[in-house]
Amino acid sequence: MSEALSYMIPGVPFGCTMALIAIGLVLTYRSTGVFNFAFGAQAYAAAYLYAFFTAHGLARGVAGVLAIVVISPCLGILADRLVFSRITSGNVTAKTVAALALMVGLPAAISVAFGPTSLASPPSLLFNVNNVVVHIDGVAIDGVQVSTVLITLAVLVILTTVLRSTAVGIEMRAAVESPRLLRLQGVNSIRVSSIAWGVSSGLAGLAGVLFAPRYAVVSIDNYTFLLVAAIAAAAVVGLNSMVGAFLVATALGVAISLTTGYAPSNSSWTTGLFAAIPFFVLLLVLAFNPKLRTLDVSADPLINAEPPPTFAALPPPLRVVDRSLFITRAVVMLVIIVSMMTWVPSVWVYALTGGMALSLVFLSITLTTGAAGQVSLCQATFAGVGAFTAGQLATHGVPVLTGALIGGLVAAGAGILAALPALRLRGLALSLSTLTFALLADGLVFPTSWVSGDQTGLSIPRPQIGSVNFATQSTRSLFLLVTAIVAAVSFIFWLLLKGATGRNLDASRQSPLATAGLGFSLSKAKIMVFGISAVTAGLGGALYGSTLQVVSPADFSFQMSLLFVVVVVTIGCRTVSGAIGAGLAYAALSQALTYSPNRLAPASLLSLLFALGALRYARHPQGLLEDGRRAVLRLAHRFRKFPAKNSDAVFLGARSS
Amino acid sequence: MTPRLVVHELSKHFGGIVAADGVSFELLDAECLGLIGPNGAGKTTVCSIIAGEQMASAGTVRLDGHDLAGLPVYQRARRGLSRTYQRLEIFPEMTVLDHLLVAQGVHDGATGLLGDLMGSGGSSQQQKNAAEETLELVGLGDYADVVVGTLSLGYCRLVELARSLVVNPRVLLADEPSSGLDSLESVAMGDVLQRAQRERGLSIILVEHDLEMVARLSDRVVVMQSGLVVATGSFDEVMADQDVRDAYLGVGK
Repeated sequence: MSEALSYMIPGVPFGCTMALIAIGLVLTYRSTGVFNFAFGAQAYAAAYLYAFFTAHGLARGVAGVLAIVVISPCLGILADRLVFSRITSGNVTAKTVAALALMVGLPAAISVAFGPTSLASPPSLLFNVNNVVVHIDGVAIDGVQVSTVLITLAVLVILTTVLRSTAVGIEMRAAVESPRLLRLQGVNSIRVSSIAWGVSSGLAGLAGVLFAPRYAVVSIDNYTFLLVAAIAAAAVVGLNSMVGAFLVATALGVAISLTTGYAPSNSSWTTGLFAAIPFFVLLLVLAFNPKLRTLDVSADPLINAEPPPTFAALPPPLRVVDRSLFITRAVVMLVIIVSMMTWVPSVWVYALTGGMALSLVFLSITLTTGAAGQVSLCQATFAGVGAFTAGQLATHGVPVLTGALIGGLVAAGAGILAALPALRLRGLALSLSTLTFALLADGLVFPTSWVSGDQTGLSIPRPQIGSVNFATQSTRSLFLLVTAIVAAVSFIFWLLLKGATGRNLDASRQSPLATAGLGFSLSKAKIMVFGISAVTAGLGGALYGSTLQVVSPADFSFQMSLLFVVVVVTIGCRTVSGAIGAGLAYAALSQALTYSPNRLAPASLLSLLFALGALRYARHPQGLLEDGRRAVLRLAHRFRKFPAKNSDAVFLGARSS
Repeated sequence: MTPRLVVHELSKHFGGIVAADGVSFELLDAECLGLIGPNGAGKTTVCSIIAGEQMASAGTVRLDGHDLAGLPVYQRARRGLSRTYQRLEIFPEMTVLDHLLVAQGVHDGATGLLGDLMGSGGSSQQQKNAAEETLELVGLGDYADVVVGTLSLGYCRLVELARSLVVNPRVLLADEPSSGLDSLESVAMGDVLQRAQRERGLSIILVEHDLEMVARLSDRVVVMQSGLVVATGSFDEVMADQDVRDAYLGVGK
């Protein structure tokens, strides 16, 4: 019994830390309609700043107040004012993308501002971690554990009371139903939203600071786990009850602590399996809790009173401009290819070959997010399945290009597997489902030696076609091969997107209910989208791996999935050229940043730049490439000397009065 | 005459709340059936069950003699059920014409990947002609290339209606087509529905609060209150019924 207790008791404060995040998730969702994926990153930022302040001699109390009460709420309010409050209540995709951009951008900003070196664990906020306060059945309970539980309970009581019994609490609950109605009642909904963001971000900061002393260094990875476990707890109660989220999070903490305690110490896989309990719980809840299927359905009776998207600002298309742009892009592509084959330094050729291969992974995001409007967070996982399959097959003598094709097919299987629990899901719930799928692959599948090889990674040889061995040729020839494959796949995607498939997906993105009502099977479409996107990502992953020659699970982790989404929506997620542009931009910027001082953490700077770009998504979902096209169109209209042709569309909005 | 649609003893319970209780009616060929009642009577619930968006707790829906039990929304649509929505469901980034071409493409089964890869995934001239014909029918002939998100609510409702009509459905479920429209727009919407019914032999279930429109269009009227059918008959007959007057005016109950 005491052995079980010794495992269970540490789970309670662990669960309480998760509960703080879960409560914050519920609070923000119920009061602003935003599911804030960035809570883990906010907790990490608060912990990092707390550790930084204490390491520089600030008293624990002062550092804690600064991190939890001042900086965290300010960050939350800034995020609300600058980003989320500008997104219309029904635009779930934009909210999800914005939260993902923050999730990627915040830790990156910390690295850029304070340097890439991890900080050592800070001292605990209230009590010393080594001070035993009490014994329960022989199990020592330290000060940090006691304070974590007490603080969480106090927060829960205060928040529940405020939400149920005070005017601001009632306003916060009303705000999520209809901010417009609230405004019509004379309530400042902006103030209400800011309060919710400030309080919930303060909770994230509190969780981060309380959690930090448990680990040797302050690492974003620990906070990501914390976030997902908290999401599972919040999802079990349908994002609807703070008390329920607290109870479930605590139970999860105890379950994880207990099962990992009993896990055989010599089996890291078993330990990983038990640590993945929250992921399994989340998958099950998403699959079987019908409340989560309607998360995106707004209860706002004035939803149709939202101002329409700003179509009237769009310049009407002109054939001459579109043709010119097409020719320009073709010429630019030709110049790039010729340059790569002749004078570009080999280190850049290597980088851009990788980028070109990644553009296949980005094309998969064009299909899922751009065409179908579903933010899938496991595209890097599919790429990893393709790469590891090709690598393992290569060790058995299978040519790498054949292995890449087989890898694509295996990835397609993984894609359909990921789609099955998500068949009835869309929007936020689908994103959560795919994130869980990626985390399970990261935790249980990719680290095993039969997938990713030993500690040094898995070798994937360069391809060989007939007598041409790309291992002995320069990287320039590999670039040409990868470009040819990307061109072929891009052409297929272009046909799909401009054909009935693209048009139907476009319709289902804008109104799933109406599209189903026309006779379109959303479930079949989802399986098709996941299958095609996974096969493309798998092929891209294998080619990317073949370019790198050695791959490890870190190359295809869920963080990469998030980053890839952020990169593609920045450049343009609705067109084939956007995906190729994203691949090249990502590779070129990565390479260019290697010349920057190491103090600036080039990899983080890259993430930060793209995260900032993705924050534009709500207002500019078309991305930078399409923005460029529209700028040229406006310019053309300003200096237009040629008459409009009948085939040019009617000026948008001209007849709307 | 075989009824086109038969709703038999349809019930829907949400926990302890009864949204529909033993609702039965028939819809004949080329008939317009008005489904009226106060808010919360269960009209939209019945509509949603017929369309397959909600599952019935009990009862059956038969279209052209075929039981629709267990069929999802998209399969019912392919069998000829088409609907418009009380809360507008449009594709705001698409043009008016594209709305109709999507509907035709889905209805005609042009969703094959192979067709797209062979370059034949676009719309045929026949489909374009039918779409233009339908746009003329509803009075949107000049708006084919306008992006729908830029149109006013009245036009958007017409686009929704045209999208439903272009596939020549067996039954149109028109759920409050005048919702949000002013009186002149309501009259115009009624004209369009009447013209569509007359020219295409359409069977319509018209869920509507605008009693003038119901009176003008409906051959028969079913009145619901608290999930129950309280009266059936011609418009004048049901309006003479004391239960109906009570339901609308709240007298005596």
